[in-house]
Amino acid sequence: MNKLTKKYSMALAALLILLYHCWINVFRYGSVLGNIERFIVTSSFVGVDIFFFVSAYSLSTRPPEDYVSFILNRALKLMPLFIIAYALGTFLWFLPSLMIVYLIFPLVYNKCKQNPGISFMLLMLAWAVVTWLVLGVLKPEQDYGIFLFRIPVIILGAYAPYVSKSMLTTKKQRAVLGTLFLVFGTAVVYIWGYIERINVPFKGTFYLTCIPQLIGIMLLLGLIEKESKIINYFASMTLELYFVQMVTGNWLINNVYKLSGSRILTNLITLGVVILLSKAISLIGETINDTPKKIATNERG
Amino acid sequence: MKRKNIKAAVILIVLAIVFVAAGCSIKDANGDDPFETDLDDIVGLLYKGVDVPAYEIIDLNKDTFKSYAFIDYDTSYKAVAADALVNITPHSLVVIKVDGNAKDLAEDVIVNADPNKWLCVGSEKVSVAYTDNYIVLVMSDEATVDAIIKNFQDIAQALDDMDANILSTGNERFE
Repeated sequence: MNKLTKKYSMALAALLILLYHCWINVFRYGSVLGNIERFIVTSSFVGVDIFFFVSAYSLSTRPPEDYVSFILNRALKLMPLFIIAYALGTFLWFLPSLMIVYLIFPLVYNKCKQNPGISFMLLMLAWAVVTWLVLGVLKPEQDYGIFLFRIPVIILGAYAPYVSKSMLTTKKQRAVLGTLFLVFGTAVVYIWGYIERINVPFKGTFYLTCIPQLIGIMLLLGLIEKESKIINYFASMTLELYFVQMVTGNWLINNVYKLSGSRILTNLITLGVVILLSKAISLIGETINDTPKKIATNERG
Repeated sequence: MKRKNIKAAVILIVLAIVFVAAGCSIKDANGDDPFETDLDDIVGLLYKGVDVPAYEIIDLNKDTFKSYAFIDYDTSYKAVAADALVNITPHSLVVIKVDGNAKDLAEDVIVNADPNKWLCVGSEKVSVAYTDNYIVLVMSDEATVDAIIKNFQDIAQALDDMDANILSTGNERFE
């Protein structure tokens, strides 16, 4: 996965998550277009899986050299958003989950990369055992399935570089395989992740249904070679988008809809405001990060 | 030239979709539905004076009933759901009309109801109220649930000539 594919993946993930959280259905329930729209919106939870997959892939191909500074850097990026959202009454489960990945991944991966085949199997087995222990034995009331059933995607992301290096060499191969995975995966999500979500043996099992679709998406995104300003724009503020939509989305949508009475207008205004606010927060973050560097440069100058 | 044609086609398709969307715009929160049923009217009465999020009423069928009502479908049931329009708002109202024996079904509903059915959010409170022939399941924030249940109590006499029975539970996510 090159930088361009990563940007497209992150932008797509951010937009899918935004769609899931902030889009209100426009077409009539029960009509063909209404069903298609509802399926697209409801199944766009795959955005979270794309994000986890890309994060694991990136960590796998470029493991952090200094573990402590890497963790500090990640924590400074993620945790302020989490704390602010929590203070405002919203629990952003995705941020601490991502932090767990950053904490554990580099430690485990260093041990695993020596023998990818066996370690992959062992990690999957360990995941199954932990999931069974947490959801089957401890049975917490909280919805841990939302993260536990994303762990296979993280493991797949970590081991994907081995597959892409050794097997899929030509563009045509990737295009054909990507299309097949996407079509088959979309059907799987439609049947078991949309019409009736599989929650057996544990609640949240249906998250696994998006894995074939995810593989298809990643293979096809890898074929894109053209840079896009819009994609760069969204890829640069994925976390901010998630934060803003979760903190303000509910209030925005309901109030705009009550005022306008139009679903199309509500969607346009909500998405516009969320995107603008996210960009503003992203710029503030960049300014805060750049300030010490600028001061240091000025002092040296 | 060819590129321009493609661009024009894309714009036309997008415009067509927007117009179809506007034309197809469905029954909205104000309830302008040409196919109103008695259950839709009940939803209107239950929401009267309550600050509910933007919602849409949908008729439940054999494919959708269980995911909203949390019990198995039976052809004798009539049911509608009036959930929030957006996935980020944990609000659900389901009204079920049955041919008597609502008590047992209502108890099944409250046991099986999942206040965390939304992926990233959960409702604070779950309440089920019932008369002989009607069951109402509400999942939302506490104040909204209580207000809707109060409205059901107010209309229970008119619906079934009896007082409503209430079953409630919280969501441990919030405790």
